[in-house]
Amino acid sequence: MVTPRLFYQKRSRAGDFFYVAFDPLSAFSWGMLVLESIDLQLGEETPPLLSGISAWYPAGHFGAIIGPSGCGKSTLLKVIAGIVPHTSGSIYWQGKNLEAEDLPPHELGYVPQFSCTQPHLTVRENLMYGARLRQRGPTSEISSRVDQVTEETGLTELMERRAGVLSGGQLRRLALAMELTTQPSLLLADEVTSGLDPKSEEEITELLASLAQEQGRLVLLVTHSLRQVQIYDSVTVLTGGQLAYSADSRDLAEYFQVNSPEALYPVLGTRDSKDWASVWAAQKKPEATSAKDRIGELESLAISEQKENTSYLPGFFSQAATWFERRIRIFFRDPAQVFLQLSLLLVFPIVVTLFAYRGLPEVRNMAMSSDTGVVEMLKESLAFTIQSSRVGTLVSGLAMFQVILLALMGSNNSAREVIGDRAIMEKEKLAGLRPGSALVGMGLFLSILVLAQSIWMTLFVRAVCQFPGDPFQQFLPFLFVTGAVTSLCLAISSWSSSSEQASLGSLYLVGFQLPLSGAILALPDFLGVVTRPFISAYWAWSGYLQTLRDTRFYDLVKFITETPLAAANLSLWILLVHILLGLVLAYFGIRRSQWR
Amino acid sequence: MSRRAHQKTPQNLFFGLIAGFFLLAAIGAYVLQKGSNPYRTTEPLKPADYFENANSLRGNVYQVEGVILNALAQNPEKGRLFSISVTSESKKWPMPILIPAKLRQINLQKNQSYRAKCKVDDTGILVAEEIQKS
Amino acid sequence: MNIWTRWIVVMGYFLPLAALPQEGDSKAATGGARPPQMNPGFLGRDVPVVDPGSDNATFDGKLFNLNNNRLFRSRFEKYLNAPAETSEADQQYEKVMNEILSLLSPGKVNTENLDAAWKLLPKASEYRSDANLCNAMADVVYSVWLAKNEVARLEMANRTLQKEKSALEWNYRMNIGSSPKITTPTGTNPTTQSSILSPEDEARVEPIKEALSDVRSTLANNKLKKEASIVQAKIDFQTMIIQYFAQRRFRHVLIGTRFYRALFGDGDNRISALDQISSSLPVDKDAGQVKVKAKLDPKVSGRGGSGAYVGAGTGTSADGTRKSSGAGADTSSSGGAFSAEGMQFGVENLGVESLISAGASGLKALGKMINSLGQLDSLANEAIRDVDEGVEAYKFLLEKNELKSATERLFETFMMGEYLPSVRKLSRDEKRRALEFTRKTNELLAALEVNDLSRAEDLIRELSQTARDFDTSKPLAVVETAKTVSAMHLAKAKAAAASGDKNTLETELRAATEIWPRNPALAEVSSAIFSQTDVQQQSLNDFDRLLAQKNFRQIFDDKVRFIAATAMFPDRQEKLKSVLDRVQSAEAALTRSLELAKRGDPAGAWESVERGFADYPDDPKLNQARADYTTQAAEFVHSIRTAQEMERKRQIGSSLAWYLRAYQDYPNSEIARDGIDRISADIVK
Repeated sequence: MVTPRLFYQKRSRAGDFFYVAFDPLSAFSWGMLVLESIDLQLGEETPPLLSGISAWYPAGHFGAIIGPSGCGKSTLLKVIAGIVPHTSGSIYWQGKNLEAEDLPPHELGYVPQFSCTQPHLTVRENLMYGARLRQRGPTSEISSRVDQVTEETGLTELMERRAGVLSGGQLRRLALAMELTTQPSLLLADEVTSGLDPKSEEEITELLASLAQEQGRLVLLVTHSLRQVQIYDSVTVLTGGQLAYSADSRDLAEYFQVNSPEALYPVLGTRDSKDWASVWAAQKKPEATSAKDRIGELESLAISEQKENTSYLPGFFSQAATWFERRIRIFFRDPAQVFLQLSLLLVFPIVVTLFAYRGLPEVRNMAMSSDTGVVEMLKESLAFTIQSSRVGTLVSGLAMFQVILLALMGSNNSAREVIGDRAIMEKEKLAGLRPGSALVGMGLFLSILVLAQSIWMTLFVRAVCQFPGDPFQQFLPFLFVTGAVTSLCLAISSWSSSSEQASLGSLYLVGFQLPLSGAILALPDFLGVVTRPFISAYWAWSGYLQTLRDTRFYDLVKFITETPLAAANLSLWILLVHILLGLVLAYFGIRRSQWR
Repeated sequence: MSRRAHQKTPQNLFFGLIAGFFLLAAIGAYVLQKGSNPYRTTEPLKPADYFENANSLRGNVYQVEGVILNALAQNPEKGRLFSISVTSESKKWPMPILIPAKLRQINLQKNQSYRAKCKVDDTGILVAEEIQKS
Repeated sequence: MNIWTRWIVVMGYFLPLAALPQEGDSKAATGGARPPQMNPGFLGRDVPVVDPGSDNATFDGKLFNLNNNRLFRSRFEKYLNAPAETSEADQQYEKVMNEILSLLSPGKVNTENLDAAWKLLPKASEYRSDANLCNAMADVVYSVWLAKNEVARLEMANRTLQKEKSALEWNYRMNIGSSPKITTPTGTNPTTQSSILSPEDEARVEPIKEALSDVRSTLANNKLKKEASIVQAKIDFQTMIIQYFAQRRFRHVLIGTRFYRALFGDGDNRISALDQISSSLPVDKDAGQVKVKAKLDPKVSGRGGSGAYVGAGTGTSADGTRKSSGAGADTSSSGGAFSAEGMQFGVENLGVESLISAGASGLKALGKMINSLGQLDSLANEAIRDVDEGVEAYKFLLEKNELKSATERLFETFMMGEYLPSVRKLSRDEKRRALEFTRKTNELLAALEVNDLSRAEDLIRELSQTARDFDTSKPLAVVETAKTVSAMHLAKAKAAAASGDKNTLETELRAATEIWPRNPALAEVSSAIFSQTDVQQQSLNDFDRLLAQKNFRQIFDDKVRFIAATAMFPDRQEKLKSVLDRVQSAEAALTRSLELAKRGDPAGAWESVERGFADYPDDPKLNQARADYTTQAAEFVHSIRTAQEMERKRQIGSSLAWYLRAYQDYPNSEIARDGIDRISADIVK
């Protein structure tokens, strides 16, 4: 058996060859990426996903990770990216343990298998916003960089085309392009060529190879295509979570004693993966390197150090603004969304006014003297009760109805806000998007909706039903309750793992508002005291009714309802707390990594 | 396990947050309650004591909260006498309250709920010094 | 003036209208009450009495207006009861009467027929229906003949006497020689004249004079007798006829007039010639005659209020030597004047002493109206005709069921033509209905007279059923009024009894009794009132005792007798009243409270009792009730009590609060409400 070369032949433009010596002890100072006995095991019973993976990759290198399906290729890539945490072992990048100090965002480029781009935005916009989120700098600079990248990836003609209409190959290129805007030192590509036609596959593979040569970049491609093995500098073969081979691509066929690389997989299947792993582990690895070989290494090191020193990421608020701008653009690019929001905005207040389009009825007072006969008193009491239940119910109902509809609108605002583009967000987080910025951006966008909805509801219903009371004081609880439900649903959205889950959660949130608010039926006291603090609708309803305190409607409502009405200030305060709670929870929800 | 790409929020933090906000709400509530009940510091009147011997409470100031029942008598100079139903120990106690002339602009109607700061005068009648809807 | 009226007039003045005094109309007389001393009847005969001046206003209707007398009514009833006079005897009588009439009909009158007719008269009188009137007529006719014979004789005697007188007178003259003038007073003026003679002549002629005067007087007497006889006969006859007319024996009237004409030949002479006849009668010592004379003075007019006749006698003598004088004021009659105009009748009291004078005065009175027997004749004929018509009318009305009018008609007809065949021939059946109606009306009248109002009511009802035209409205109204008035009096009596006013009680009771003696309520009231006198004292004693003991409830329980007993004692009555009031209100409070308690409202019940307590604090029943309800409505009572106590102690605030509390427990409570109002007003003062 031949000893596979671990001296990777670098193909530079000049055609110079470097031979780099492998020194296990000093590998960390020379190798860009060193995997040391990576294990990944989820749970005790399940077989390990990765077991004892040790590999070594220099800079300026195009390595392929291959293996049969389910062997753990993508997982390894994710482990390298840091998306999936490994159980044991270490990963070193440029001599630093990644556990101690992670790759800066701009250094890492990770192209996932399923691309996630904003379908409503054009290629250019996608790239621009992506770039602006990832790196700081004047728009012109970013713009030129984007142009450069599009050229590199061959997307120039497609610049103004919507991402939603691109073909699979074009989308892959776009995804790649998005990662390239920051010129990452480590580019991890997960099956980007899978499922493409041979021509596109070749093109992209060539592209990746060329990218590997630029600035000493390490490009690792997970693929199960073995057609162009020779284009790779190295090949890492995984099988059943075990490392079967990680060396020069030229020696692959010989090592596995196959005529062509295509015949590899069947051969792999002949032996148990552990055998393969043990065989490979027994292989002698090369020793010693010349000083000449190190230079290139050091050079790339120096370059990357330089890169590290500059704070590359855009500011917090810059990212927030970018996010906001992009969100607005996306919103208006989606007619269905616009229509839906508009409909809700306009129709819901109309529905409210249907119950009192003739305005509120006048209230008759009861006689106050005590010398009316008992029968008279009872009759009057009855009449007053009837009136109270009629008018009081109407007023209370109208208030509550507005609150509930606003809550519905609020939940509709944000239920799918996070979860809808979760993958993109995760990628962008990986690329350096701060969760807080995303939150702020979202918050800004949602605030616009919330404001519009609450203003319009307040004014329209007031105008039609002629509600008395201070308009601003009435507007505030509506604003706050819409905001509270929006933010709470945002939190739900950020913590949900699927869109359905988020929708359901939001629905339940709104659904329970009404019954637990005590506006219709009063809860038993002990229960009410416990639940009411969490029911935003109750506080909004209370706060709204307090604005009617000087009117008789207030008395009638108080007459018919057993639920105590909270003071206006307190109601607003609690709603504010709800808003903040929602926002905080949403922050953590966004911050949490959730990769599909 | 603290790669940048995956951040886990510890459970404790989660509940801690909720608890924290609850606390925040409570603090706020407490602070704001003061505004909603301006007579909070005034001692609430115990109807049982009043019924037993109103004269013994002469000169004291109490807070009374109840539902207006009837208008009993009125005099433009002296004021209006109402009966107000105060709930205490799950019993309804009807009590007389005099709204003096200086508060004549307040329009009291049957079944409205009011809160008043009252002083017990020499004849044992509650005279309202301040009154607001509750 | 119809026959009926004329008949009335005749009867009104010709007959002594001594009607029986009308019972029961002491208050109803309007100028028609007859003094009771009047002789009933006329000529001793039973005549129906008519009082045209009386107006018994009790009932409407002609029937009772003019002929309201029992005698007539009973006669009518008797007639109605009697069977029709269609028997053999009646028919025979009819035949005889008709024959007589035909024998005497004008144009047929000659001596033979006269005799034949006269012979038939006694035959007619054989029949009962004639009532011996024909016999009487026959007698009168015979006396006329006798008178006439006498007259013939008397004429002869007078002639003889005349001869003698002439001789004597020649003698006288011879013996006197030349004699002074003797004047014979003539004329109508009373003059007294005497001639102057020498004494020797006087002695010489004395016996002659005596004889002469004898003859003269006899002559005069005879003449007078003659005159008187004829006059007498005439008057007799005329009187008889008139009497027949009065008796309504019209057929006899006809017979009479015809006889008269035949006998005296001057039937058409005015009856007033009687006056002259009577005036030719010499003065005689017979007072009656003088009266007659005076009365027959044609100069006397029928006027005069008090009827003081100033009569003057006149005399006419055939030879002119007679002096007659007559003068005198006759005041034997008094009475109102009679006026022929219209229907106005005055009341006339006639002091009848002799037939002649009566007849004469009557005749005189009649003079204005009925001037001749011929008129009587025609009147009688008319009467007969009227009666026949009346009967027909009666039958007709009967068919129509107009019983009242029919009976009235029959009554009138009966009154007029009681003795006429058409009336007499009415069958019993035909009369029966009228009889029944009459009976009933008589009964009704009788009932009304005794004020038996219930019976009267029944009769009125029955009458209205049988007679279509019987007007019940007025009688009923009268009955009702009487009943009502009686009841009112009775009520007043009761009230008077209750208030102790004995006088009023008596008067009212009497009034009630008078008006309706058979009032059923009367008995019970009187007995009720008047039986108490003995128990009254006992009750008074009891009352005083119980009052002293303050046992008000006992008084209340026995209140009936105490009320009656104290009726006459106002001060006791006051006390009783106050006691009753108090117990009453306590009772009321108790009842009310029971009611409320039953409805599940002990608070209300307690309050009710509490209020009652104020009135009557010692009542054991109330006490008991109060205790019961206090336990039942304990809270409420406690509230009220506390409130009241607090109020007493001037703890206004607490007191009001407790009242409010009580009011809350029981909104209907008046005590609570009062307390609240009171204290509230006090506070805001």
